[in-house]
Amino acid sequence: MEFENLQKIWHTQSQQTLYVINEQAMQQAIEKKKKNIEHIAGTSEAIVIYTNAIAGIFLALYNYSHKANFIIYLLAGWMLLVSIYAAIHHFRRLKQSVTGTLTVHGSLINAISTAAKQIQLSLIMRLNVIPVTIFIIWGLISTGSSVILSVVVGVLMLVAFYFSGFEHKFYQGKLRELRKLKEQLEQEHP
Amino acid sequence: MTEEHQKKIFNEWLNHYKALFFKIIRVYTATPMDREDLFQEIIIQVWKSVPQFKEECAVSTWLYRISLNTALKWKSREQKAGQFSNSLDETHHLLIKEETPHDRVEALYVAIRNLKETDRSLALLLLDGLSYREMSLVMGITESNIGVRINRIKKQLTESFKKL
Repeated sequence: MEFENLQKIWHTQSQQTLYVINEQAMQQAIEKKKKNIEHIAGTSEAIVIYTNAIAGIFLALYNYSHKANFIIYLLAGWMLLVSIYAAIHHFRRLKQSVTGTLTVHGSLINAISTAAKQIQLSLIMRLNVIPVTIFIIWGLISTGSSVILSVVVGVLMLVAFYFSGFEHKFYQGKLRELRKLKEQLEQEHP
Repeated sequence: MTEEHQKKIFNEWLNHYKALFFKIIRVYTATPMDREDLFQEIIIQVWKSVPQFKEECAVSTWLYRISLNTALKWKSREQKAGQFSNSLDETHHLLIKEETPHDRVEALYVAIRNLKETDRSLALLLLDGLSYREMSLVMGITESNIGVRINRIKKQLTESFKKL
């Protein structure tokens, strides 16, 4: 009998109008979302694609117009490859994602897959700092630049590597949370 | 689908099913700010889903799925602060409070919020009178799994409500 009482309490809500929707604010919110660049779903993916592409092209052109250094060409080529890899990853992820139409369980599985891919990309981009650092320092040394400059570059890249860890941890936290929800849903007994 | 047609369907759904959205946001949030935030996320997902609806299920089942998916993956405003911010700071008040909820209804919502996140979804569907089959269509788990969990949820809810 007790649960039936709870249902009676629940059904008294139909007699109440708790909220009124601010239609104008709602339309503004929808319009704003529509104007966002939705073909680039992840901010971090966009940053990786564009910065590597721009940096690679800039390096190649600068190197061509000055004393052309083979190592700098290698670095430019590497950065362009990274940009292409990130773009392929992005489009593959978008192709697999389905927006909002799955069951709750299906949607969690989909979200876990997306989060796992995001972690994969953030790890690869983090490790990418290593070959980029090697190319830069190698290039500097081969052109006779000072050792101090090479050390400064090395330290800066180390800082970049450290801070990219925060983004990686963010995605790992998100994945853990999603897996926890999926386990909750699948678990019949507490 | 034209934008006009999408807008027409969206407005129809919103008018007819707003109680459904309000219940879900009250189950998953405790503060007015979080309610605004989650409500905005839900209506945007509902808007985006309109062209994808092919009448393979009832509209209510569709909307339950979208709203519960959004609510489960939604993180609280406090967790979001310090990470990438979205439009939270620009959230204009989408919800205007008209009445104060009855104490017993509010106590029931508190009891539901004390459940695990996935159990809250089932509690809501149960209280709204959905059949086990309908719940299975929304949640994507078997009817037998639902049956086992429902018995536990009923017990937890009544015990929790008594203490409040």
